[in-house]
Amino acid sequence: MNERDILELKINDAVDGLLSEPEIDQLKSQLEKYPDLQETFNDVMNLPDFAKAYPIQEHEPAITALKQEMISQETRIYFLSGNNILKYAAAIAIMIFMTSTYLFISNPSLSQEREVWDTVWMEVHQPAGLEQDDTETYLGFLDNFLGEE
Amino acid sequence: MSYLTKKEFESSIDELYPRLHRAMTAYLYGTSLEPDDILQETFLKAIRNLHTFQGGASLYTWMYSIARNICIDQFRKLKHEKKRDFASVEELPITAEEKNNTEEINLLRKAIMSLPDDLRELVIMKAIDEMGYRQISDITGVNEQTLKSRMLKARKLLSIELKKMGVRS
Repeated sequence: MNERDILELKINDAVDGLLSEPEIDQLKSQLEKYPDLQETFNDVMNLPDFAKAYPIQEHEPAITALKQEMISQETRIYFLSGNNILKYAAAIAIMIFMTSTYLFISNPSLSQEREVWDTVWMEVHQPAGLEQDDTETYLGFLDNFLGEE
Repeated sequence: MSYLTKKEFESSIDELYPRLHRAMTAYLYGTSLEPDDILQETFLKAIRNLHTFQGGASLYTWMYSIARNICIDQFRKLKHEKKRDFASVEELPITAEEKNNTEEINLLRKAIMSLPDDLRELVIMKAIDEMGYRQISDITGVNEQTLKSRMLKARKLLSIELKKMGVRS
């Protein structure tokens, strides 16, 4: 790297605010040998602040919308991931099974129907061992079932 | 293992968004791409890939890289780069936002816009976004020494352009 290259880098450091006042004075004296670099130094040291061209602004609504979108995306990803679909399918299957079992056990009408069908079973397969009451229940069931008076 | 939890990332959005928005506004000046759209895609992509953030670079640098890559992809798709290269500063349409800006702001923007792509990007990162050369080097892959030389070149060109526009330093 020759002297000119070094001086150019120093000029850039000076614009970036990395040189102290004595260092800048030293640089100025070194630049006297190079009038073109001296001109460059004067030009670039007096550039306006370009950050003014794009001031930082508030973006509250956009940030809120973004956060909501992130939450909904996360939810979509969570529910659509392969493992979770299997988990939810299994959970739903278990829930349906437990609900059906509970309804079957606790529902009185289902319970009565079972008694009737037990009776029918006995009627068909054990005609000899039937009690009078059982036969009446079976006949009553048939009457209701066939809509006879 | 991620260096940042989703909760930590979400809480940093308020700080990251305005700064990144300013950088992308400068980066996309003269194109039809909207900074808000790019930022939305950037943040959604970042949260999906949070596990890849290893903490070597700052979170902002990482986010900037994602946004920059999205812009580059968009430029490729829309061939905006070509369109922008051939559009002179005077030909750029005046947007509603620019009508509300001061003349000085518009002139500064146009001066930056007049730079070649690599120098313009460098000026945006250094002079507008106030990144260090190391951060810029991490993002662009160009070594710090070269970046400093380019920055001086960019400053010289800006000085010439502003003189042409009649802006006094």
